[in-house]
Order: sequence, then structure tokens, then C-alpha cells
Amino acid sequence: MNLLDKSLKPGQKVEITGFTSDNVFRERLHEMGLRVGMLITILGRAPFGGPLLIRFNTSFLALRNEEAACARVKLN
Amino acid sequence: MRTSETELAVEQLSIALVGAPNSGKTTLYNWLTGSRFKTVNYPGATVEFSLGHLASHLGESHMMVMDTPGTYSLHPKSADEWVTLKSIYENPKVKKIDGIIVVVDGTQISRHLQLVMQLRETGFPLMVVITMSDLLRKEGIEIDIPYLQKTLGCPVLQFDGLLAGGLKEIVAEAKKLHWTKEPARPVPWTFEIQETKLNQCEQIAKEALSHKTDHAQERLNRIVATTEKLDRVLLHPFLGFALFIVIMSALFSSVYWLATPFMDMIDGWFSVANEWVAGLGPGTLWADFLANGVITSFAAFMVFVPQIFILFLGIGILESTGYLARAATLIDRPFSALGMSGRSFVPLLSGFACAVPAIIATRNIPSTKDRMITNFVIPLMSCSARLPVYALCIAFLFHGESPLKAGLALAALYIGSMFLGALAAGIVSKFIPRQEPSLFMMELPIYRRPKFRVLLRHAWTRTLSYVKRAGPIIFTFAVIVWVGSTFPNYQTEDAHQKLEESYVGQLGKVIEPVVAPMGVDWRVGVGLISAFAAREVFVSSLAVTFNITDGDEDSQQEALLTQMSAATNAQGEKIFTVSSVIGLMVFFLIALQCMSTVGVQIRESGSWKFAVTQLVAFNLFAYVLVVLIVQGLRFIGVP
Repeated sequence: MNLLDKSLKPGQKVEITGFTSDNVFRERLHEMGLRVGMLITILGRAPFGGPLLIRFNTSFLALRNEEAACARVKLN
Repeated sequence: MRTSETELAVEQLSIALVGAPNSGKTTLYNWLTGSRFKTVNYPGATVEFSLGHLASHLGESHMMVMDTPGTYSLHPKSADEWVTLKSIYENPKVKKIDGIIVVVDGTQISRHLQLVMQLRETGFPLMVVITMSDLLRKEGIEIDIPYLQKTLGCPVLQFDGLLAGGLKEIVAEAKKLHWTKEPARPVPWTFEIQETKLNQCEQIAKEALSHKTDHAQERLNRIVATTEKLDRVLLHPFLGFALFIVIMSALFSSVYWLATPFMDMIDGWFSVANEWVAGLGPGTLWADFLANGVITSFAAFMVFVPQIFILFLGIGILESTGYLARAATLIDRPFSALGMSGRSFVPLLSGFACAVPAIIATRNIPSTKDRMITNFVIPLMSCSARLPVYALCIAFLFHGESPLKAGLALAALYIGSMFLGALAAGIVSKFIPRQEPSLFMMELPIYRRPKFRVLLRHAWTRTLSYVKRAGPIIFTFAVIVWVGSTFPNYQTEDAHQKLEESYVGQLGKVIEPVVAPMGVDWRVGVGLISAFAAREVFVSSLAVTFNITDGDEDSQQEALLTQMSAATNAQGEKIFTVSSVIGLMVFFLIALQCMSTVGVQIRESGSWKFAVTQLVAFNLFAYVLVVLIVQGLRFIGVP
């Protein structure tokens, strides 16, 4: 599944297993410090279906749907 | 002659600061250069960065320090990141960059080391400065600096942004940086290399933290614990959005409420000065010039300084606490419906202070389309130069009534400007094709308590530079308007007749047919024309043309309001009525009457077409709409 999966709830931890696309989104995710094997905490979503909020290590990130959909994850 | 010789004799050392957004780069820059605020450089080139000499107390200043926009990598994705890349490789102002200080946030070492690795590959002489030392120290985290130096192969120093600890050492190390070979261009990393590098960075960070600190990760987590707790409320889908509206309303209403006593105070001072100067030489031309030309113009403008200061302070608070990034996240969805992104929020909000820096701030929007739309609507945000006009009009409409009504009217204007901005964005987004995906992906910095002294200083310097910029224009126009409205028949006793026969009166008569449908007469028309130099001039121009000397009222603004309510046109009809004043406010709400905005727009968009289209569209629309509103209101019986 990807980070947008409906079964993921705030507070849950997931592990990145890969990236689906080969474009600028993945590049930016990498630059933000996300890599395969990294653990991410789902924090919630902004209003009106806005960006997804995640935390990894000491960083907080807001990702739009199409950006979050790039990261394949599994429940940790 | 001598200075140029010395410059030639002493080799200038140029050091660039590079780092991720929010890494503490600008704080370091300010300490290094001793400049008290973010200096924005306006060279003719498209590249923009801050360049400053080393502060004098840090030794002889053969060193130039350059601040660059925050970047996550050397592979740019926004205009800002392009600026960073260009300013270190092909700098228009500096012959060559002798060395780079990479600024790394001490709480985010593993992430920020990526940039260090990229830069290391290019071969630039490097030095790493680790910031946020105060946060680390508070949690008892110590970084193994010698280990980092050895692993990264360059000097690593710590810096405390609050107390400037480590500054001298940083300067000493920076002076040693020099080229050993020509730096190469950055080579993009493939997926595999990128993954390996990230892993390496994490390993290095882990080692550097764990060597000297027990339970380093837990301690780091404690630094961000409060942020996580606060975000549960402030980024909550419902509560967070409600609080967002409350915070923004508080910002804009405080501009009105908090400023009033200070405005009354300043107004009082100027009335005293006016009376005193006028009393020095009753009936003489020079006293008339000083009192009614110069002092009156400045009074009309200076009265609004408290409001401008509070607006700058408010935006500064939101920015430095870390809330502004959250606000952008909260608003991203609604904004993307209008063809913009949450990243457009910060520039748009700065647009309420001034459109010029706001347009420059759009550079961190990665998508060209998002950026163009944001640039297009920024001039619709009610900048602080419009405040004087709004405030005067509101004071006229609600004179002697409860301040609540005035506050609501001001809020309505601000909300109106946002609504118009949204409408314009929605329309324009249909006409601009999308070339690349719109990136949002935003880092949310941890919440920090702002340093109030720093904030006040920032707000003060920004207000001051605003006054300094507007001051000469106001002065010039005050002189022009006074001369124009006093001569050629300055001996005429009747003030009204004198004005009508004056140069300003003659010009006004020419343009009267154009402004008459707006419900105003030629004197307001003169004000509208002079407002194209700077909007603030409108009020002072009114103050001069409606000659407010005769009254013995207790304040300048009182006097102007009284004159306005009594003023009649050639047909004996009142000029300032409910409908015409509403019309004026709407005109100022929409019309693009700012030459600096047009200038910046041409430069930032790189096209005359864009800026001219905007200029014509806004002013034509404003004019037509005002005529419709004024005539409509009069038709239904509003005076």
C-alpha cells in the first residue's frame, strides 16, 4: 500500500518499502530525507482532504496526495 | 582613487552560506554581518541574494558573506533554489566564491548532511556549521565534533544563534578556506546512490550523536515533543482550521484596535507642530508652505505608521514561531482549488504589508503556474499603503460612531480583498497552461518561542525602511501639490477660488470628465493621479487640496474630515458622500497604483506583457466597477 491508504490511522507507524514513481516527487522525497526502510509516523491530515502530515525522526512533513502516493509502505 | 587601490591590493574573501530552509542560515548571516535585518539585494541580474561585509567587531573586513535562499539540494526545484545554485557558480557580484559554509540544523543532522555530501562532491572548500546549539544543550545533547570533522573531511563548528557563541571561531576557520581545484558542477545521484548516501548520512549522524550522549534519539524526541502535541490541536482538521481563522482575524483586527491610541498621539503631535509653524509667520508664503504643504502631508501619512508596524510585527510573530508553515498546510486544499498552493499563502499574507517583497517571496513556489497566479493576485491584497486611505474613508463614514463598526468595515475590506484575490486566481488559472507538476511538500519547523526583542527590531526596521522609501515621494508630491494648488494666483483671498484657478485646478478640470462618474470632483482626481506615485500620497494630497488650515479643530484628521464633509463641487453638490467614499475604497481595493509593483513584476516574471496586462486589467476593472457601484448606490437613493 502507499501512504494514502485509507486503513492507515493517525499514530500508526509504517515503513517505507519503495517508491512508485520515477519523477520529481520521488526526488524531493529523497531530498527531504525519506528512504527505503525508514520508519514514518502518520500524524493526520489537514482540513478538506488537504496534505498528509507525517513525522520521521525529528522532522515533520506535509505531503499532498500525489506526493504521498509515491511512497510504498507497510505497517510496522 | 585610494579606495580602489586598496581594494585591489587586498584580496577579498567571499564566503557563501548554504543550507536547508529554517536551518538558521539567516541568523548566522545577521550575526556575521552585523546587519540587523534581512537585507534584500536588488542587482540588475535575475539572481538575488544578500551580500554583506563582515561586522567590524569580528576583525578586519576583507571578508564578504553571502546569504542564499534555503535549498534542500543542488538540483533546483524552485526559483529560489535556482538562485542558490547560480549565486555560488556564476555570481554577478562576486568574482568567485572562495568557500562555502554549509549550515546544518543540529536537530536534523542526518537530513541536512545530504547537502554537505553533494557540495563535497563539487570540490568547493567547505566548512560545516551546526546550529540550534541552544536546543541541543537544553536536552543535554553533545555532538562529537572531531568525529564529524574526520568523517566529512572539513572543519565543523557549532553555533548558538541566541548568544552568538562560536562566531569568532567560525570567522577564523572561514578565513582559511581556499580553492585547491576548480569546483565542478553537481552531478545528480541515481536512485541507488541516493539511497546509499541517505543511509550513510543517518549512520554518521547516529555516531556523532551517540558517542557523547546517552539515549540521543530520545533526547531529540523531547525537543520535538511539544511541537507534536501542539500540532494535534493547531493542525486538527476542524479545530485547527477554526483556530487558523481566529489567528488571522486577530492579526487583522489588532492592526486596527491596537494602533488607535498611538495614531491619536501622533496626530496630536503634528497638529501642535502645524499650529506652531503657522503661528511663526501668519499669512506668509513660507509658513503656509511648511505648515500646509510639508507638515500636513507628513501628518497625513505618519499617522498610519503604528498600523503598519503592528502588521509587520504580526506577520513576524507568525513566521518566527513556526506557525506560518502550518497555516500554509491548512490552506493548501482550498488554495489548490484556485490554481495556487499552500505555499502561495505566505507571499499573499506578506502582500498585506507590501506587494514588492511579496512578489519576490513567490520564488519558493516550485511550479511556474502556481507562481504566476500568485504573482497576479498579490497586488489585490490590501497592502499597508492602502491603510491610510481606508482609515480615512472609514473615519468619514463612521464618524463619531462606535469603533466596532469601523473595525468591521476594515475587516470587510480585507475579506473583500481576499475574496477578489480568490476570484481573480480562479479566473486566471483557467488561462495559464500547467507545464510541470505542482509541488507542495513542506517541512513544518518546530515551534519556537520568538525573541521579542528581535521581532520588535525587525518590525521597526521594516517600518522605518517603508517610511524612508515613502518619505521622499510624499515630500516631493507635497511640494508639487502645494505649489500647484497655491500658484499662480496665490494672493487670492478666497481659498476655494484660489484652488480652482491654480495649476492643480486647471489639470483637475481636464480629467474631471473621467472621474466624475465615480462621484468625485477634480480635486479627488488630482489625488488619484498622485496616488500612482504612492498610494499614501492620496491622503496627503487631499489634505493639501482641501486646505485644512482654517479650522481650529484639535487634530489634523478631525480638520480634514470636517473639510471633507463640507466640500462641494461646482454644482454645489457634496463631493464626499456615502456612495462616493465607498467607491473610493473599492477603487483603492482593486486598482494597481504602485509603480514599484509593476517594476518588480516585470523583473520577476521576465515579461512586460504580464505586468502590463495586470496593470491595465486591474485599473480598468476597478474604474468600471466603481462607476457601477457609485451610480447604482445613487440610483437606489444612497446619498
